[in-house]
Amino acid sequence: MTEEVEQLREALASARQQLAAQEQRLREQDLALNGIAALQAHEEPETLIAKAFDLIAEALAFDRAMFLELRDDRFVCIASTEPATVGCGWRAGPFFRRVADGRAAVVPDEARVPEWAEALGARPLVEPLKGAIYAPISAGAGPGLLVLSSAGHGAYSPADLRLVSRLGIFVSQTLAAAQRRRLAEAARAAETERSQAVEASEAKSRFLANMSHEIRTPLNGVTTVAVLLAESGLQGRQREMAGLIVDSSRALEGLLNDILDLAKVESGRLSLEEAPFELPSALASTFELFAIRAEERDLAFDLRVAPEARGWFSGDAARVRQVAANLLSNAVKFTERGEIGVSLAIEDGFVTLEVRDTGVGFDAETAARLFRRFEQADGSVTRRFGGTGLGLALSRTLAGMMDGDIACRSAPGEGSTFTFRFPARPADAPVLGERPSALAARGDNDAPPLTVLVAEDNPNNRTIVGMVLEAVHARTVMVENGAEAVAAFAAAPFDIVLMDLQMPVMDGLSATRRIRELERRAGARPTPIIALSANAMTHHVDEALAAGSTAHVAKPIDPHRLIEVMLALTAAADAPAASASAS
Amino acid sequence: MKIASAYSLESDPRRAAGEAAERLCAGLGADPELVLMYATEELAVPALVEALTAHLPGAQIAGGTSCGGVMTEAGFHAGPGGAVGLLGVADPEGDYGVGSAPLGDDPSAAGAAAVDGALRAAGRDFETPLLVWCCQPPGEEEAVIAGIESVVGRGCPIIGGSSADNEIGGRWREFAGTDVLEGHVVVAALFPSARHGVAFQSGYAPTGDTGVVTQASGRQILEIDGRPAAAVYSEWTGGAVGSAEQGMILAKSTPTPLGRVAGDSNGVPLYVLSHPAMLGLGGDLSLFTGIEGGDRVHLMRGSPESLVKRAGLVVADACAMGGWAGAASLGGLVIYCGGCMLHVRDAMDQVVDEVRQAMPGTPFLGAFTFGEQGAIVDHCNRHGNLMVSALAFG
Repeated sequence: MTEEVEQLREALASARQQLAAQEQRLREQDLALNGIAALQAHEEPETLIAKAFDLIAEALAFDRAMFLELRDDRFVCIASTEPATVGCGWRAGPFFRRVADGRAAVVPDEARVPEWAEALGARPLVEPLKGAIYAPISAGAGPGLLVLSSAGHGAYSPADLRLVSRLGIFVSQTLAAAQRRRLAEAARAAETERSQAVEASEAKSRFLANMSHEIRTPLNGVTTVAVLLAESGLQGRQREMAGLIVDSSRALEGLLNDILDLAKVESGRLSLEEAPFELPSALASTFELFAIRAEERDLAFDLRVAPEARGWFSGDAARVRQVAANLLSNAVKFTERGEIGVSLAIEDGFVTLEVRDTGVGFDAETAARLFRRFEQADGSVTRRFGGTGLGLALSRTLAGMMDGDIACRSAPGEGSTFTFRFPARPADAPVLGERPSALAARGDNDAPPLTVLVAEDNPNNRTIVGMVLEAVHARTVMVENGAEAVAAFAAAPFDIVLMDLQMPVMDGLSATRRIRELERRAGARPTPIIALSANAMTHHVDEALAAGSTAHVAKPIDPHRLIEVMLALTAAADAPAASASAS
Repeated sequence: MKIASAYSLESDPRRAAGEAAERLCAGLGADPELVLMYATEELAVPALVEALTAHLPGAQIAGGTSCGGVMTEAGFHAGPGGAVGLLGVADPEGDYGVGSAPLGDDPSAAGAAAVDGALRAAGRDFETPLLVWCCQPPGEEEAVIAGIESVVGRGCPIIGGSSADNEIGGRWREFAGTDVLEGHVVVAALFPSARHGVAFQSGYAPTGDTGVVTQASGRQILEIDGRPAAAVYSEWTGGAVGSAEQGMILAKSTPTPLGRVAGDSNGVPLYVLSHPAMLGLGGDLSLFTGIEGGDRVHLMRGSPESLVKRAGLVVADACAMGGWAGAASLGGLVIYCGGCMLHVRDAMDQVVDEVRQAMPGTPFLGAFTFGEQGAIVDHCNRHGNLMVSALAFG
């Protein structure tokens, strides 16, 4: 009997222990289940954290609960049952970092935690309590700490730590899920916005390309006819009026080019060429032009070229000219008396072009926004001096693409100095064969006349091109579309072909390909083909060259430029064919 | 985390340390971070700990003397030259530290100082460890526990045993690092990376005889229910312990200790025992625990069969408290009352077998102490006699 009682008693004792263990585990599971029920990923972090505090309070007494998040090198309180502690920071010391890395801890007296010693000095509003639990937790943005504190020394046990750690893990997962959800939503919104932006950008590019073509075609007529008219022997007032038409149309062309360049920059299609050019020769015509304009305004023009700035360099000479012209144009435009000073030198491995003027100048605030698009010194500048405010923005963009920059210094009434720098990359001078100059060829009356096939659907343009070719005594055959051009080319040889690109029946690109195919079949040498197009953006030039064009000349046609390119190509016809853009 | 145990019955302390250390390292397959060592009084000499430290230079070493022998999963170990047993823990992810302090006049302060030192040695000097192991001489255990709790809090489980000798001759010692200490508290602070469970029980049941201590002094009961304590105790035992037998009564009183309710689990009382040690000339009864006037004491009774089974049951409970089945254990420590061991010495192989069944295939170390410390189900730490305190890792 005694033995049976002993056995029963011992079984009871063991059952008690196991029951206690089960109760502890059930308590933990209840807390986790309550967490699952109460914490939802769609809720905001602040709500989730507040609910987590409530959940813990059901299982474990505490006097303060805080959620600290690691930001830079500090743990910052982002939620707390004591609002005054929100925003307080603690140094991310070894203890806090170890807990955040996943090793929860119980401390009997948190005043002994080193991180608190520093927090006390910095934040007297927050004071350490006594017993505390530090458990890792994360809101998805980074590591963090859940801190439960009690006024009682040694208030918490390792069993309490296990309970809180389990809940901390669950809260972290829920917060991370909420963070992922928010990030996914943000990513979807960003993708939608990006798609819309890309679509809008492409639409704008298409619009600009079309507008470029539509504007250049009539402008071509205006400019070319104006040039021819001005050179037709007019006298006096009529000659002056024709000159004004030429100047105005070229100004309009410059504006159009600026807008197109801007479109290219925005679409990422603006690319720089890399070819040898000679200084200061490459800028000579620009300097000469603005020296003349300065003289017209009774301004002195002082040009100084350092000896080391003379030589061959690698880069995009046309864009260097464009930037130089913009700076010089502004200097002349904004200076009413005094002088324009220009110096070209090599400084610290950079080609440095400095343009100084004694003009109106500007203050520091204006300087800060001067390079923004469509910005000028103030509204009165536009009214007084004209311009779109695009030039400096484009110039700085171009300088940046060259790995250079444009800087300025000025003061109101004391003139301005603009400094354009780009890397001085020395280059070998190209080896050129003897080639007659365009002017020489044009004046060579003994040379046989050029036979030119012109494919152009627009009657006005056909007339304009005809007038240009007349100046060089060319024998011209005009056709109205690509199919006619192919047929004419097959019927008779030509020295050169001028091919419009946008034509009915057969476009210029297709016609060019057909002509090249005819030549290949016949084993004939390639005839120079110049693509004439108002489609002047880079990718249009690339398409023309890829189709077999020898060169591209943009509309509106500069008569001198067209003749120069024609003669250069025909003179080089004996040499291997080379492709170039003359737009 | 890896755990292994080892023992040696070599009488030469250096050879004993070498043999045990070699077996321990072979079992661990790694260098231990912590080594708990129990040795009988014969081997409690500096040469033992010095040799052990030399063999295990990277380990924190703590321990104390054990009564009559030690036990491991390999059996009960007792030899003519003494016995030493080791429990090694290799746990690079955990932190462990050992500290010690002389008891002096303030055992509580000594407990606090020792655990402070252990925490510093663990590199976690302001934290509460997951558990504390302790060893101190018999006599002031309650104050030592209070001192430890003053540092780490009352919720931290404390498991340990009071150092013991073979014949209650005061030859008990404590071990810390390279020192063999006398009159010291030695504490280990444990931050293991694995789970752990603890249990603390006796193998005794209340008989129904009970009374209130009406006069007490330190560890002496002078009167129960207003009568001389010796007379009352003798009556309760049915004369098995005669009231006129002044002097040591440890062996006779082992089956019938006094118990006090230390806690409650679902209405079922939990008892912590006090072992009557001596009957005084004035009719007083001296215990191996402290006692207070007003305490209600119960006469408890335990059969040898119960004492034999009890160690295995407590170990099983420790595993259950940790939340795993015994077979999933990594290792364990069993603190078994030295008096009980002497009472069932012939059945010690069976005691070992009971523990083996509770933790199949798992290494463990058992020590026999003169006072046990443990945490009962409410997580309160207690000192008791004739108890079994078990720690399991899983």
